[in-house]
Amino acid sequence: MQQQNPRKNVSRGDKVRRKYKYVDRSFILFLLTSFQVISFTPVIFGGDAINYKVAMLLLVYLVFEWAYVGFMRMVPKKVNFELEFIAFFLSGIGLCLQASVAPSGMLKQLITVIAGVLVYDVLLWFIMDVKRVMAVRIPLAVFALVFLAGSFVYIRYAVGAINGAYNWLAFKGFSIQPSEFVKIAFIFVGAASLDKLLTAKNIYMYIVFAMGCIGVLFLMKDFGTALIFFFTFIVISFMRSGDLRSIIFICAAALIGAVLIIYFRPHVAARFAAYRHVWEDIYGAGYQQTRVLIYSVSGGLFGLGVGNGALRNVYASTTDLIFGLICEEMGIVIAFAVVLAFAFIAIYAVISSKSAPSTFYSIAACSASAMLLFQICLNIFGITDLLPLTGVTLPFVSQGGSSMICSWALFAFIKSADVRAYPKLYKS
Amino acid sequence: MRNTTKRTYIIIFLIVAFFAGLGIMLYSFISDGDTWVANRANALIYKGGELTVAGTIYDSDGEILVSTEKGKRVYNSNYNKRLSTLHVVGDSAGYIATGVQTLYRSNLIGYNFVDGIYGTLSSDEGVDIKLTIDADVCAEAYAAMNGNKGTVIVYNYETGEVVCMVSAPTYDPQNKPKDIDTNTTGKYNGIYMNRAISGVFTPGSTFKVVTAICAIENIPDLYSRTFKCTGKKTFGKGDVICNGVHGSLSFERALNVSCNSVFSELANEVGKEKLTETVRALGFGKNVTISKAKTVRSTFDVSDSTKLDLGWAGIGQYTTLVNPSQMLMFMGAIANGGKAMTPYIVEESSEIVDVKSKVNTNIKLGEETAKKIKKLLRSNVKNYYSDNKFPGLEMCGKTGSAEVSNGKSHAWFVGFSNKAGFPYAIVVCLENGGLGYTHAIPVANRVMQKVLKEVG
Amino acid sequence: MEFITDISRIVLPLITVILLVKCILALWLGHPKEKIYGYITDMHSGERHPLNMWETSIGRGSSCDIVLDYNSIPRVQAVISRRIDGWYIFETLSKAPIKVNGTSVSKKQTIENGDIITMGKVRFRFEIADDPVQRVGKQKKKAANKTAEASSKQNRQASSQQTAAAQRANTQTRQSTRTAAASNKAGSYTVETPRVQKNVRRVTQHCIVNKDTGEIFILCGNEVRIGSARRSDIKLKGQNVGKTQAMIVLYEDGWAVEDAGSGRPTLLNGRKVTAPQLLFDGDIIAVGDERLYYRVKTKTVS
Repeated sequence: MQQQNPRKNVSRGDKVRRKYKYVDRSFILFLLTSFQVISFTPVIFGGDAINYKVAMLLLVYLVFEWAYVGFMRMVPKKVNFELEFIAFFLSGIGLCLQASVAPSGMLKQLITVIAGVLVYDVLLWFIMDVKRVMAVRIPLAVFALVFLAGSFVYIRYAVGAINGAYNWLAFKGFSIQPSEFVKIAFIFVGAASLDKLLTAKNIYMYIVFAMGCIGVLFLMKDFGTALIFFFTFIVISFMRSGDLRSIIFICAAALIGAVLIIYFRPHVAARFAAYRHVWEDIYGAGYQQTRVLIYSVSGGLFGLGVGNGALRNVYASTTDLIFGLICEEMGIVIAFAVVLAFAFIAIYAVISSKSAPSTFYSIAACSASAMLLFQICLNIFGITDLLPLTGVTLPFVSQGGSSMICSWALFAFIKSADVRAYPKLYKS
Repeated sequence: MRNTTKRTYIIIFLIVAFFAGLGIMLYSFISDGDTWVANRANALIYKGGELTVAGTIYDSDGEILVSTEKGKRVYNSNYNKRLSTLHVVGDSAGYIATGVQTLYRSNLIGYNFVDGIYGTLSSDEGVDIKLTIDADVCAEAYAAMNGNKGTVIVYNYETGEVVCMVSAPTYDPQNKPKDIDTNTTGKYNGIYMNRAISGVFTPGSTFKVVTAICAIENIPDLYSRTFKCTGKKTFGKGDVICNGVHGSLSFERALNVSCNSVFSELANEVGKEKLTETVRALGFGKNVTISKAKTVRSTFDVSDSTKLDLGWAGIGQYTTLVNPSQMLMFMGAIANGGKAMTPYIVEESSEIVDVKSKVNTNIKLGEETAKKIKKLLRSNVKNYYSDNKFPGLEMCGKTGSAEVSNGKSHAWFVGFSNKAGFPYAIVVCLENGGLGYTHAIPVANRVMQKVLKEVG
Repeated sequence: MEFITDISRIVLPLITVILLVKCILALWLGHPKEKIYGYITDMHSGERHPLNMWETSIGRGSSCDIVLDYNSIPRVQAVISRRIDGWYIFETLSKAPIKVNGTSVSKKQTIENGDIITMGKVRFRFEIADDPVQRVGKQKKKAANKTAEASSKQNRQASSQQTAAAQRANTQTRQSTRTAAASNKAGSYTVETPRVQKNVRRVTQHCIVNKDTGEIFILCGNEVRIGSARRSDIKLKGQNVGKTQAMIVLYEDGWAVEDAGSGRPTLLNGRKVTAPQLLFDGDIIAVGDERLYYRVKTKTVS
C-alpha cells in the first residue's frame, strides 16, 4: 500500500496535464471574435455614419486570426496556440483603441500585426535548430551593433531629434525604431546552448556587445529603452554565469554612473523632476501623468465604453498612455488583466525553461519575458507616477510597428522554451 | 542545464516587484480615486472650468439650492437665497474652497470605485446632497446684516445641525460679476472666503466669557468679592481704558456691564499660564472639521506679554483672534452642559457616510462651570441687555465690540436660547459693524426669530 | 449605443478573464511529463544515470547535472545534448579527453545508442530510451489477431513463436533502430565490443503478448503499468481487471512482475503474486480474465 501513494499522485498529475494540454481552439477563437466584434461596435456604429473602412479592417483581422490558426493546425500540425491567442487578444485591444482614436492609423497597425505574426513564425522556425542559431550569433551581434550605431549617426546628422530623442529612423511615409529590432538581436546573442556556456571562458564579449548597445541608446537619449536593455543584460548575464557578485558589482557601477551623469548633466535629471510631484504642476510637467490618473479611475472597474473617454484627447494617448486609455474606456479589470497576463507569461517562461530543449531557449524565454515585463513596469508605473516617466510603449497594445513586431518576436523566444512549440521535435 | 534553469529565480524577483507595484497602484486608485476624479482638469465633468454633471443640493426644507440642467449648474431662483447660501453651497468652478460643491464634488458627481463616474455620465445626473441649512433663514440673516461684511451662524447645540451659515461679502453665482477677478478696488477682497469657517476676528468683549471661566475655576472667593472700577486700570506704564466708570460692583455685574477694569485685573490675577491653559482647554488653537471643511485655528498667545498686554488679552484685544465657528462651539458647550457638538452641514445619506456630528473633544468644560457661566450669560440678557431685545427667546449671551486698527469696531453677539425645545446657539460677527449692543443684537434677534418661526 | 456600452461593460471583462485564465492554465499546467530520454551507465560501478533533459552536463563538480565522483574526471567534463538530428557529445572548457568507441572527440561528436564513452579512466555506455511501451499499429494488430486465432488450438510455444514473428516484422519495418532498454542478466553488464560494422547489431527484445487479441508490447523504460485505466501502458479491456492492477518493473536482474495493490489477484503461472517475481521466457501472467505471455527474443538487426 505504501507504494501506491506516489503512484496515485503521478496519475493525478497526468490527469491535469492531459486536461490542460491545449485549449479548445475554436472556443477561444470564438471568444476572441466576440470580444473584438463587441469592442469594435461603438467604433463602427458610433459616428454619424457607419465606418465601413474600420469594419472592413476588422473583418480582415478576424479572418486572419481564424485562417492563421486553421493553417497552422493543418500544415505544421500545431496544437498549441495559447500564446498566440493572448497576443491576438492584446493586439485586438490596441487595434480597437487605435481605430477609435485615429481611424487613419488602423491600416498601418493591422499590417504590422500581420507582419509581427510572420516574424513570430519565421523566428520560431529558425531557432528550432540550435546549431543554426549558434552559427549566426556572432554575425548577428556585429550587424546589430553596426545597425544601431549607424542609425544613430544617420538620425543625429540627417533626420534630427523627435521628442528630444534620436531614436526614430524616418523614411518617406513611415518610420522605424532601430532599438526595437536590436532588442531581438540582444536576446538572440545573449542566450546560448549549454555546450557554448561551458566552453566559453568568460562573458566579456557579451558585455562589450551589451554595453555598446546601451551606450548608443544613451547617446540617442532613449533612456527608457537603455534601462530595459540594461535590465535584460543583467538577467542574461546572471542566467549565463550565475555570478551574483559581479552582477551586484555591475549594478553598483551603473548606479555610480547614473549619479555622475546627473551630477555633470543636470538637465538629464530635470527630465524626471516632476516625479512624485505631478499634482503640483498639472498643466506642465505633470500633465500626462495626472490625466492618466484622473481618467483611469473615472472609468471604474468596467469602463465608460470605447469612444466615451476623455484621455483620448491627450497627446500620446494611443502610445505611452494607452494603459490609462484602457482603464478609462474598457475598465480597470481589463487593463489589469492585460498587464497581469505578462506576469503570468513570465511565470510560464520560468516553468517551461526547466524542460526546454536547450539552455538557449531557457535563457531566451526568461530574458524575453523579463524584458517585456520590465518594459510594462516602466510604462504603467511611469504614467501613474510610481516610477519616473520614461516614455516606453506597452507591448502589443501601443501604437507603433517596430514595437509590435518586436513584441511578437519576443513571444517567439518565450514559446520556444516550451517543448510543445515544436510538435514534431517533441514527438520524435 | 539544471544549474541554468535554477537561476530563473531572478525573474521571480521581477514578478514579485511587479505585483507589489500593481498592488500599490490599485491601493492608490482606491484611496485617492475620488480626489483625482474631482480634479478640475477632468474634462468629463468640467467644461470651461465649471462643473457640468453633478447632483442636486437641497436645503433642509427640500428646496433646490443648485442642480444640473442641460449640462449647466442652475442655482436657486431667489436672488437673496443664492447670495446667502453661496459660501455653504460653493461655486461651480471651485473657487470657494470650503463649499459643499467643492468638498463633496466626488460625491456629487456620483463617483465610486466600482463604476467610476459611468452612472453619472450615462444619466447626466450625479448623487444628490441634502444640507442642514435653511435657505429662508439664511436669506433673512443676509438681509439683517444689511450689507455689512461678516458672518452669522446658527446651529442646534444638541445635535450639531447648522441651520444658518452666511458669509458676506458674497456674489450671485448665477450671474457672476465679470470683474470679480480683475477688480482692483478691493470691493471683492476675500469674497471667496467663508468667514464662518476660514475667518478669524478680534473677539473683543465676547472673550471675557473665557476670562470669566478661568477666574471661576481658579479664584475661590470670586463671587463674594467686590471690584472697583475707576474708568481705567493701570498696569505699569499704561492703562486699560474701561467703557465707563462703574464704581464698585460684583463679578456678575462686571460681566453684565462688560467692565474692562475688572476683567483685565482678573486676567492678571490668574496669570498668563492659567489663562492660556483655559483657552487651550476650551479648544481655541485647534481646528475642527465641519463637514469636510477644516476651520482656521484661533490664536491666543500671551507668552511674551507684559502685564498690560495680559490685561488687554483678558478683555479680548491684544493679538487674540478667534474663529466664529469656534466661538459657536464654545457657546454650544456652555448651553449643552459642557458637551460641545461639532457643527455639520451635510446630511448623512446612503452615499455620504460618517458626517454625523460628533462631540468635539477639544473643548473641555466642566458641567459645574458650564452651569455657572450659563447663569451669568442669562443674567447679561435679563439684567442688562433686557429680554425685550429677544422677545420670547430666553436668550443667554454676550456682546462684543472689538476694537480694530482700521475703521469701526467689530460688532459681536455670541449666545444661545435657553428656551425649552429650542436649543439653538448663534454667533453674529459684523466686520467694522459698530457696537455689539446696538448693531449685533438686532441682527441676532431677527435671525433667531426667523429660526424660531421656521424650525422651532 | 448606450445599450451596447452597457452590454460590453459586463461581457468584455468576462471574456477577458475566461480567455486569459484558460490560456494561462494551459500554458502553466499542460507541460508534458518529464521524460527519460536516455541513460549513461557507469560500466565500472553499474550505476545508471538517466538523461532526463535535452542538455546534460557531466563532471565531478556539484554544478553538473550528472555528478561522477572520479578523480580522473574534471569538474566539468562534457555536455551530452539531444538535438533535432540526434545526440551529440561536446567537449567543454576543461579540454579533458573524451573518447567515443575508442576514438578521441574533438569539440563535438555524434553518438548513438550503445556507444561507449570514455571519460577519464572510466567507461560509460550511452543508451537511448524510448516510450515505455511501443504500441503496435492497428493494421498489424489485426494481422496478429488472425495469427492468434489460427493458432489458438496449437500449443503455447508455437503460438508465441508466431506472434514473435509478427512482432519482428513490425519492428523491423517501422523501428529499425529502436532497441529495448537494458540488457538483462544478473548484474553483469556485458560490455559490447566497439562497432565495426555500423549497421549490424544484436538486439534483445522483451515482449508481453496478449493471448486473446494477439497484441504485442515491447518492454522499454523502467516500469510498465497494466490495468484497465486509460493511462495504463498496457490497457486491458477484459472483465475483472483492476484500474492499475500489475506492474512490470525492470530490476538489475531483469524484468519482474509485481502486484500494484488494486485488490484483485494477479497470477504468475497460476500462483498469486505477492512480492516482485522475476519473469522468464514463456511465463503466463493472469490479470483478471486476460492472459499475457512474457517472451524474450534475441536477434540481429542490420
